[in-house]
Amino acid sequence: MLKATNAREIAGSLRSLKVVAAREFLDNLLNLRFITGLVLCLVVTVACIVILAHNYRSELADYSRRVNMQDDFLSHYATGDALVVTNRQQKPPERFRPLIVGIPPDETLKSFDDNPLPILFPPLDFLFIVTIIMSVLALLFSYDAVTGERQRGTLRLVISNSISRTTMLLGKFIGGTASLLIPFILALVVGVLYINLNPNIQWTASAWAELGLLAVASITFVTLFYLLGLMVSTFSRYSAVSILNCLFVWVLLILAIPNLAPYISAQVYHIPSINEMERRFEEMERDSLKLAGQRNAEVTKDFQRRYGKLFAELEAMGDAGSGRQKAAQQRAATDPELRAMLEAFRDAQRQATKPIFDARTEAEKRLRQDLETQAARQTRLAKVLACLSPLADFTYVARDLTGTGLRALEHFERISGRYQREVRTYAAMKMQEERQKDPTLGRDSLIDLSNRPRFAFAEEALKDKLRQVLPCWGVLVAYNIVFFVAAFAGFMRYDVR
Amino acid sequence: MIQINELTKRYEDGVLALDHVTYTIQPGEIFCLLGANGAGKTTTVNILLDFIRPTEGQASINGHDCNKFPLEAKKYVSYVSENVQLYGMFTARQNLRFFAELGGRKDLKNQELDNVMRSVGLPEKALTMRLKNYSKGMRQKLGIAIALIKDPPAIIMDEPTSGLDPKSANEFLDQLRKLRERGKAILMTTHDIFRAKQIADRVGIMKQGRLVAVRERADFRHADLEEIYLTEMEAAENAP
Amino acid sequence: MTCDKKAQKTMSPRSAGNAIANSLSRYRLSIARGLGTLDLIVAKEIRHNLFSYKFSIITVLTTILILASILMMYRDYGLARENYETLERLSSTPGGGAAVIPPTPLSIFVKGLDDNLCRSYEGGVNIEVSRKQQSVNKVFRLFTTPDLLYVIKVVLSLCAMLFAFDMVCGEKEAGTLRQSLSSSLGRPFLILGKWIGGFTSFIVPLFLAVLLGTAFVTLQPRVAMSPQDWARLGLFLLSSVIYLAVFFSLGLLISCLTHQASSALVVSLSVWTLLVFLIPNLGNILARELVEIPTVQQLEVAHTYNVERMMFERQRVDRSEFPKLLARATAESNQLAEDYRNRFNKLLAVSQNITRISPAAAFTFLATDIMGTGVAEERRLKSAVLQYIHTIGEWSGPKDSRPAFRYERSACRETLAQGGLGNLLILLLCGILLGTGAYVAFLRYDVR
Repeated sequence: MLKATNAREIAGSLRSLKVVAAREFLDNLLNLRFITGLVLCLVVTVACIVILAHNYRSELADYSRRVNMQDDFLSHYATGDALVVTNRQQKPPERFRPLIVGIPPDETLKSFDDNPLPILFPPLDFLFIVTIIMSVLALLFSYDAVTGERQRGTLRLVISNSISRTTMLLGKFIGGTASLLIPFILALVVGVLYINLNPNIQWTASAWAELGLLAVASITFVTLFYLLGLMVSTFSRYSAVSILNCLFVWVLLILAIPNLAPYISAQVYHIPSINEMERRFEEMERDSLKLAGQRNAEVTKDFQRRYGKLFAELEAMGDAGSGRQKAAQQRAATDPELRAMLEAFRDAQRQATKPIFDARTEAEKRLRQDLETQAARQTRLAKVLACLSPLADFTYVARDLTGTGLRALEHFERISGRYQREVRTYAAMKMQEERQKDPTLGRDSLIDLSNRPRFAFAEEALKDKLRQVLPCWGVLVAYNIVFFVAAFAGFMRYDVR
Repeated sequence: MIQINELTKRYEDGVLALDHVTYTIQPGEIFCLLGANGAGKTTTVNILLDFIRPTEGQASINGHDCNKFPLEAKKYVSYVSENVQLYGMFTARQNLRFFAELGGRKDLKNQELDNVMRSVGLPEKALTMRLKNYSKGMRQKLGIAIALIKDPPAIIMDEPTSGLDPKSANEFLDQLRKLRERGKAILMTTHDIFRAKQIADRVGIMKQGRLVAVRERADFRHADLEEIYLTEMEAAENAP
Repeated sequence: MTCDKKAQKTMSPRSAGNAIANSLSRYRLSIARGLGTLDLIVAKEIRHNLFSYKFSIITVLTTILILASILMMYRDYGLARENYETLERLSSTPGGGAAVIPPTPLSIFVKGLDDNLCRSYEGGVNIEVSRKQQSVNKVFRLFTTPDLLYVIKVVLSLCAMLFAFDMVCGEKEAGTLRQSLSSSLGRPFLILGKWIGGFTSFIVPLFLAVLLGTAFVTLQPRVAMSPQDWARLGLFLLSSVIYLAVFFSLGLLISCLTHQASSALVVSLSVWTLLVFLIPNLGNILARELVEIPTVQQLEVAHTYNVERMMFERQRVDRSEFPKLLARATAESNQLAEDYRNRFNKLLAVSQNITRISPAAAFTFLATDIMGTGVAEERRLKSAVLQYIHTIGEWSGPKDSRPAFRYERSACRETLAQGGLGNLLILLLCGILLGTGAYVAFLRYDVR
């Protein structure tokens, strides 16, 4: 009988949950914010995707033009050197570029003629739409979820019925996020459809999988902000106060933390400035030279003692330098004794100074390594601190999943490096081959390069990418949980009067 | 049946909102709670509906403790609140359906909802009108319809006639009479001594958290309730 | 009554004069009374705002952001200066032939393109550009620079709208608007008083925070501000105030067009998103598509192969042809560059024209141009660099006596003359239009 009562109670709660969720959903749909959100999402996403798709087409054309330039150059100057010179490969535009604009590779930062406008006005892409527009929209949907009902008086009415606060909060969450996600998913579907209408763009199965994962990650991000608004609503008594608190937290999470993180980490892991580094290197060089000079003087004194007159003759040829060297060379050709002493002298010098210079090289290497380790620590800390912000987490997840981030650039560098090594080996082998046939071949003679290895760019495997993004995704999920629990706690003690 | 037993509420700032109040409201009885602002009327209502917890004593509805088993107790009570805006973008019918389903009534047909709304005196065109276009009187009537459709044994009303024009107020009292006939136990808090005299079976007078007097209908039917009220208040002041 | 009729019948010049004087003094009295009322309303608005929650939270948030931003950018400026010193040392063998300019202290407030401007340029067939990256931190590249321009453009504009969006409709909902209008206060004075009182209580704490931050930074020994820099800073702060006034008026206008605070909020946030983010950024990528311009990568590839072609051909011809080859390669390189520059100028013009309708874009262009870290400055610097490299290339004297690169960033007057004034006028116009709109809307506002 107890089980029956429990079952009946659970059925009753589920029914109430459905009723509350349905009402919240419908109420949101009839609200101005839904229509505004729908229009904003649809118009902006579609406009953005149309423009970026067009941009992608031109980027593709540009890319093939560049590859053709390379091939054209090689066809005219098919020498071994030319091959090595041109093996710097071009990076094809990312296949998700119509959705997310990637980070420009390092070379573009070194060009005299460039386009600085994106520095002042970062491009608008899907990433931007989700992180800025959807987060604000989510807050708009939920900031008065509890306070609005309290001020209207309906909260009292609903609670006066046999419905637990948990059920009510859960119902609000489900109904609210459902209504919030409609504009978003609609916009995404329309955008993706438009992209695929283009014959140039062929998405493989893995691309679709990535898109699916991206959509799920976006939903995680959006519900995070809905729950934030809900949580703040359960801690405020007035909607006016609630929205101000929501926006305060939004500014902190979206704008402040990601920008503060690199600066804080730079304070914690201090890297010596370039001036300082160069000063240290100069100091080391000066010290080692001084020490080497001392050792040389000792060796000279020793040789003076041992060889006496013969050494004096050497010294009379001039100061140690190219002048003395030439004269000594001439003398040594005819005088075997002098030659022996010269060689011994040179050996002794080398033996005396080698450890010093070795030590200096070691020290320099160690200093550079320390700098690199410290820099790596700084970057790691900055990333960890930045990941306190949902914006940073989602940026990493989205960029790494779609291959439009730093990781993709590094991946390209690795593949490109491998290809460069392949080409160099091929060029050397080819030169050897051709030289066997024709010994007079120079470095600038034309050879047949038609069977050279071709560059094949393959994206990183999906499961590697997934493994990489899981920690940041986990933070997003954790935020969701924390906000929901906090909203729950707040609502339990909420004064409904 | 609504039972209040030694109900006491002391707030954190030391204010004593209720001081060992005891009374019982039987089925088929209308009990009006009179008193100045801050006398403890709304506090009583809040405790009955488990919006706040009492410091001592208990309140129960149909034998179920309101604060120990609130979900159980709320099955047997309906609440008519003062000045509720309801959901402005929904029609009256949609609002009524929502609260009916919340109260446990599922699968209600439009016809049934309309009948209840008509019975409280809402005109035909108001049935499908959005709540944001409702006047205060119409909203009050809908509030009663919401209470009615749940059909519980107990009804709690907080200042239901405040701001109503005389015609609407009279219609409201007619509704109350019908409810009494159906055997509901009704607790009504009000300032309106005139209406209280018209409708109440018993009147409880509260002052600063204490129930200073309870009068039967026989006592005030032919007397001036206002005078009785003021006398009792003065007496309470002079009492230790 | 009969007296008046008599007076009217016998209207002498003196009585006419008296009548005019009377009406003038009545007019003056009503103005004085009006101003007195205005004073009252303004004082009440300020007092009301000072004790409101929105004032405290907005003040706290903006003060933290402003001070944090200035401190962080100050550190950034320190690093940029060290960069400059290193680059200068590397290329400062007398008559070194490289062009490099120091970062401006104003980049603490408006970073703009200063990083690009402070690279070193050295001549050749292609111009060699190098920069020393002080911060190895790759995380920097993912997020926007939090300079004061960004704080004002994005956060403070939001706060201005949040301050104003419920000034009218919120009071209507609370019922106090009816109360205010039931007195003898006229609507014009009421709305004017609201604007003045509201904007004053909004802007004064911000101004104090900015002054505090500025004072701290400019007192540092490493920061040397010339009188021209002070003028630029002043002009920047003035245009910031105008920019915020635009958004404040916009919020007030929305408040006067809606009847519920929640609707006003939705509209305000949507309009803010549209003006601050959507139009500038979308407009720019649209402009990029409208103008035919090669990508930087393509340009680089073209330059590289130009040089490589020359190198290879050099090995196939005899020495006498070398100068001709070099000349041809240089000419081609210059052609590519000039073509690109022309297209880029067109891109810039199209971009500005499309995005200007948003005050945020106009403000960005204006602020970066005023502080000498904008696109106009970049173009000016690049033409100066080209000229310098040309001079160095033609230098016939000894290497040691080659002139060093000298460059002064544009003065305020120059900036304004070259299009800065246009942006400033756009801001002013927006402000006036929106303010007038709010005024008119309030006069017809339904207070029931």
